[in-house]
Amino acid sequence: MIQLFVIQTLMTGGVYALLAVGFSLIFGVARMINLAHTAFFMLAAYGMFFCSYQLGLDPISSIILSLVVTTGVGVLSYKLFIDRIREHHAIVLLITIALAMVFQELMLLAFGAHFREAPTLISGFMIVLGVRITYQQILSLGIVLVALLCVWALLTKTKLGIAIRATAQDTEIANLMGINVSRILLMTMGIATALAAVSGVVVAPLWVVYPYMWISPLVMIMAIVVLGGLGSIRGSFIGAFIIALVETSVVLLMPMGAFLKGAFALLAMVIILVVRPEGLFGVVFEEERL
Amino acid sequence: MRKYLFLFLTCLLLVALAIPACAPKAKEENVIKVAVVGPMQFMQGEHHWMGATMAAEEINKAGGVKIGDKNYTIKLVKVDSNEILDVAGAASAVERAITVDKVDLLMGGFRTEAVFPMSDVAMDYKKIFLNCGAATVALQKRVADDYDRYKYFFKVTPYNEIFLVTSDFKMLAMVAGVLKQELGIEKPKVAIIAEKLEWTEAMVAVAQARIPAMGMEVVGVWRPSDTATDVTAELTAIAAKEPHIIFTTFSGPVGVTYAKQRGELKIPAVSVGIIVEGQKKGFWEATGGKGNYEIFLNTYAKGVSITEKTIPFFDEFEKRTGQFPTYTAATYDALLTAKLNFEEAQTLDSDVLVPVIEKRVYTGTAGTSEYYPVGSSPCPPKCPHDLVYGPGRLTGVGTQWQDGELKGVWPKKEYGAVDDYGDWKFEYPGTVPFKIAPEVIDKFKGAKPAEKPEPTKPVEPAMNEYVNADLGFSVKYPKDWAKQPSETLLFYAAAPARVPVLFVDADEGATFTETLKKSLEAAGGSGFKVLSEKESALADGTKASTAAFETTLSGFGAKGFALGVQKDNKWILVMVGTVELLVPYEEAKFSEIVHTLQFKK
Repeated sequence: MIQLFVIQTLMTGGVYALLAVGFSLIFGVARMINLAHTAFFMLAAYGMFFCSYQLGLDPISSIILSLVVTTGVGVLSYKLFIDRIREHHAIVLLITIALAMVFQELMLLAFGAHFREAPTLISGFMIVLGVRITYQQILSLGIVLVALLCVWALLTKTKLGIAIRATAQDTEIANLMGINVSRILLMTMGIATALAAVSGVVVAPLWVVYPYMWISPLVMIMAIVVLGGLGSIRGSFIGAFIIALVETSVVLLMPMGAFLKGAFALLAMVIILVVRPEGLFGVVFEEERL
Repeated sequence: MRKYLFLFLTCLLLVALAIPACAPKAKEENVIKVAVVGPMQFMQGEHHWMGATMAAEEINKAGGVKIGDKNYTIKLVKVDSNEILDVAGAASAVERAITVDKVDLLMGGFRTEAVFPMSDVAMDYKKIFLNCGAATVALQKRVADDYDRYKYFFKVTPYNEIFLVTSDFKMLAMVAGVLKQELGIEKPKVAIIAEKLEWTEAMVAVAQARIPAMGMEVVGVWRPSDTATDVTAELTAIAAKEPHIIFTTFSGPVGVTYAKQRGELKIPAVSVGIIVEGQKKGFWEATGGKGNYEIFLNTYAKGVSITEKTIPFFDEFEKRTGQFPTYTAATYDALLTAKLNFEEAQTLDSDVLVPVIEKRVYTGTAGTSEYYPVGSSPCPPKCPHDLVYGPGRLTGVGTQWQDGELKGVWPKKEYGAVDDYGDWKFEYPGTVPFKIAPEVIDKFKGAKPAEKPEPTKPVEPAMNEYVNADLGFSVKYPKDWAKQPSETLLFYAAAPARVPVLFVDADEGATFTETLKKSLEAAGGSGFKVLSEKESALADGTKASTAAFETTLSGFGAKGFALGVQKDNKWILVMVGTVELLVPYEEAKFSEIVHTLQFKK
């Protein structure tokens, strides 16, 4: 039973972490709650489906093309619709949710309301300590670790990373120090969208691709990010596994109430926020957001 | 000023554009307008439309509908109800079709919540509405409850949800039979997984009660959300219980997720039940072929000849759309039947058409349809204008995905039996045996037959007791039955599956059956009928009367057994009843419970 908890939590948490980190990054830097984040995840999943099954490309080419196009759409959306109003947080919320719905309707128009499949990169499963795990789940956990390492290295070891962190700490000072804030924000949006796209291509084969697939994970990653502390990447990573543990516990301990796993995850978030309003690793003062 | 002028001109332009769109259209000569109502952006609506289109083309090509000396052409009006996303807007779409497009007949509908208001609008205008998608029996029950208003409302597809459950259990019994025969599994272990939606509540409760009665063991019940994107936690938990069968109930997207992840993890169990999404041709692609071996109820199966019309229709539909027809495509049958009805009635007048439709027996693509007559009992499930269920009429088919092909696997003559609906020992041409997945065979091959337990002394079941101190009596009932609130009865308890129920009451009345009827009617029952009546005695020799009866309670046809003892001008009544479709009527058991009535000495 314990191994079931551990393994299932790791698998589910890996998927959530990948999605939550991008969301957290763009909030940490641009103070922007991007409600279209999981819509980019959905676009990448459709990209995988389209490239593999309709264009007949091999999985690697499909992944690369999906990542590039989705990231491009993310950057373009930012430039066209968000950049000029990014200081107005309420409007950003409205615009990003509208964008998500536009993407949803476009997918509905292009592919209908039918359920689709994105190809699995590695098919099959293995049994670890008596628990069945698909290779795709193991792969997604591996990719989340690699992606997070890359994000950490980018933010701490590169000039771009320093600029991003400086912008996250104080936009005006960063501007005065000669950092092109607009460009940095654009690049951060690109990185965040790319992370959503990576989630899309890695997670989509585990799930089912359809136009409304972005809604449920959006609620969950918002809970994770708030739980971990808005803008804290480390918090999002740990929050993802806490939420995954709560979900797994609900399914394993009260199977008749498995549908409540989302509600329990949100309840866990509420409880933690009541005790610690800034979240687990929240930034109360303008500390470094890592 | 210029701003106001611009605003005025814009409004004028909008009004000018809107008027022609909203204005009632002139009635076209020699044309019968048929509204095809459905969520046209979704598969259900697409199939509504395509089925009707095929029928309309067929009718018009053959000269149209002959009424008097005129030949009428069928003209279809596409009405996008968008009911999956917007229930409220669906009724407006129907109203527009009636008032602006001036349609003569409506067919379609899918989501129960939308079919209620849509059909209400049609009834307001006294237009015939052929329900081609919503199973809920409550829709048809309205015809019994208020015939004058709802007599224009008829079912075309599918049969109601009570019959759906009945077929579901028949299919489960077939799977258990095959597992016993092929793998020597005497008492299969069953995991129940059902999405958390209202329509599955009763099904899950009944499954928990019925599966043990069918000689199987329930190892657990899992209830994911209907939109869950990941059920691997549920599946790994199910795998840990090592069931032989997974009994599914899914209408939403979770059905695809489940099948895909179950296939990927190769959970060694036969998966059988309801997966609405599995009926689509796209299911194979959506699951990447991992939905292989899934078994579920369906209306059509490729290559299965339910009637001589099934295969030509199926093949033509697939040729035109690239999809398998699902049940909403039965608008095809609806329109072809409508032609016959128009020609027999020689009019488009709804009031003249109603008795003609009521009598129509029509062999279509999914079987022979016939309506339960007005006054049929019990309603539900046998409500007027609902479809007759059973062999020779409509049975549905069980289908299984077998290596990319959707095959018909049920009914199967060697696993059929005779019941109230007819003789199920038959199969349609084209039906094949269902396949057991290799991982199931590998896991359970050579399973030893379940050891027969040593015969032990029967243990008296644990009982609860209801004691009425005022009237000085008590009644015992099974321990797992829970007390329920009641405004009219002295006491009311129900089994975990909601039935059987125990009613205890005391009332004045001239005779036992009269008082029994009065008590049941006060509790919301109707259509009370005594089946048999005899004298009896309690354990202490007190004289009592007993009766087997039928009634309708909470909309369900129920059968029960009652006992009454007259004390001080009052009848003490003890009744045990059930909805037979859910839990069978067992007179001996019910009689035993009512005879536990005991008076204080």
